[in-house]
Amino acid sequence: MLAAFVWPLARLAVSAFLPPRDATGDDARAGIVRLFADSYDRRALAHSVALSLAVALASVAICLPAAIALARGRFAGRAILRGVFALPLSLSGVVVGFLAVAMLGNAGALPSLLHLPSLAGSAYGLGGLAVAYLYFEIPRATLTMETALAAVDDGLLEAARTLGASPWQVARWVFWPLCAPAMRAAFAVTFAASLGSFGVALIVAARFPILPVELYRAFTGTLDDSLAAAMALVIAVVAALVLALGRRSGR
Amino acid sequence: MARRRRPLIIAGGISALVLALVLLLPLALVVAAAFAPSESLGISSEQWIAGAGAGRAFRYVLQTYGTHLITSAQVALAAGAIALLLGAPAGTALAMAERRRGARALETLLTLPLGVPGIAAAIALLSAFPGRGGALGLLVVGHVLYTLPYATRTVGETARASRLGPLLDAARTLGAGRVQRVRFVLWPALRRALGSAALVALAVSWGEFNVTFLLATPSRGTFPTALYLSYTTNSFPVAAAATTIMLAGLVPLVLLALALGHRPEQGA
Repeated sequence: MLAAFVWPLARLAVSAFLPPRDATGDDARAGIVRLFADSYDRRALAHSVALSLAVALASVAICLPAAIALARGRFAGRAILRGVFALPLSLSGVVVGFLAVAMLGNAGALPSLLHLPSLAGSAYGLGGLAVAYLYFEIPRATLTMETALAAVDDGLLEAARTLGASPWQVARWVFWPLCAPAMRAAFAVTFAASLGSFGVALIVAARFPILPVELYRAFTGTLDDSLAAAMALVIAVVAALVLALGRRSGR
Repeated sequence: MARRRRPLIIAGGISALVLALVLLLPLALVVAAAFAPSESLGISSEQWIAGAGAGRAFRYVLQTYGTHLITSAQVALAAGAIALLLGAPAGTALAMAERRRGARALETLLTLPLGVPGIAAAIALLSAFPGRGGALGLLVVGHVLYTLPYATRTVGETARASRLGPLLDAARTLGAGRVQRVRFVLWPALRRALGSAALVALAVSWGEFNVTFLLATPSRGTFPTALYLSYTTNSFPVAAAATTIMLAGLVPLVLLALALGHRPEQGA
């Protein structure tokens, strides 16, 4: 793990702070400097963070009821539901991107199914990208919160009830504070996954820049190894920080 | 009070059901499109390769991307085997040495790749091993980065839950030799977890794209990199057929892993 991961990652970090190979003039500055100096790259970073933030918040909000039901409810078919939720989690981003184009592309299935021709082509915009991200973040958020909520001690709720709390009071003052760490953990996990995702954007060829795709372009297109390293470093550091915060508050 | 919580549970259950149907719909449509009669979907130059008639799209995929399918199977088996061979002992040892400080650090190190996006890991690997793009060994290394943490965690969780330390101590004081301890204590306790870890590792490797994409070359890559080629160059029925083939390998692995109590996760 040290040779195959830590060492390459360390080299990556170093090359982000070194000038690129065979560069002159303005291009000779280190990738990390150019990433924050260039307005296009800054915009890609801002898009990525805003998109990940919106998708993570939306998926936590959308999935909380489903997660509570799966964790606390006793009804038939829970195992099947869990199976359905687990499936998109093992799909890579390109497949989700293809599904997005198949459903919401220029010749997508949803516009004709729903008789809403205005939806055609929406896969390529910011909204379409967010919907595609939700496809893999909804299961992630649901199952992350379900795991955390299943561990909530029934005795706490029972104690509040026997002490005379109304259902609303139990929900507000006992259950909600117990949900909060689960929601923070799910937020962190979904945010980090969205931030590093590039398969979806690669397939739908979105009309605006996001950081992982710019990283790919810098690495394979302009062969700017230093800028690519800087972008990879920023993504990895931000994702690791958010994950660490989510894990801390989850305990 | 269980009665009073019911409205929330019912609403949540309905929401889970709706979400599940929404998640299944695109997959169902794509699989259906792969089997749809090709005449109704239009035929492109792909017909030169695969001819016409039923199963045309699948024939095209197998003829064009067959080598990717084989590479994928090789990489998945290698990455799965390495993850199991390294991860099972590591997970067991870490679970038994839980209280030592080094164990924590080692566990963090082993699960580190899960927090790093695949594309960042791929670029790190390529800058450390330049000129090895497309090499089978580098593909396997890239996959092991993501299969090993899951294998370690899966086996470690079970080892921790079944309190192996005291059990092994008891067996030793009762006079069990090393072989007997492995055969009658370790193996029964970890059997399910090993199967689960293997399935999770295979599923993760089979579907992996983010690391693989940059490590692969157009001619030498795993099946998900062929999916990318198909999505960007082929007609819709062919792309749908390629996706269906990928799902046919993935779904059984995911369902079996779930049945054994673990779920694979893929970086998007």
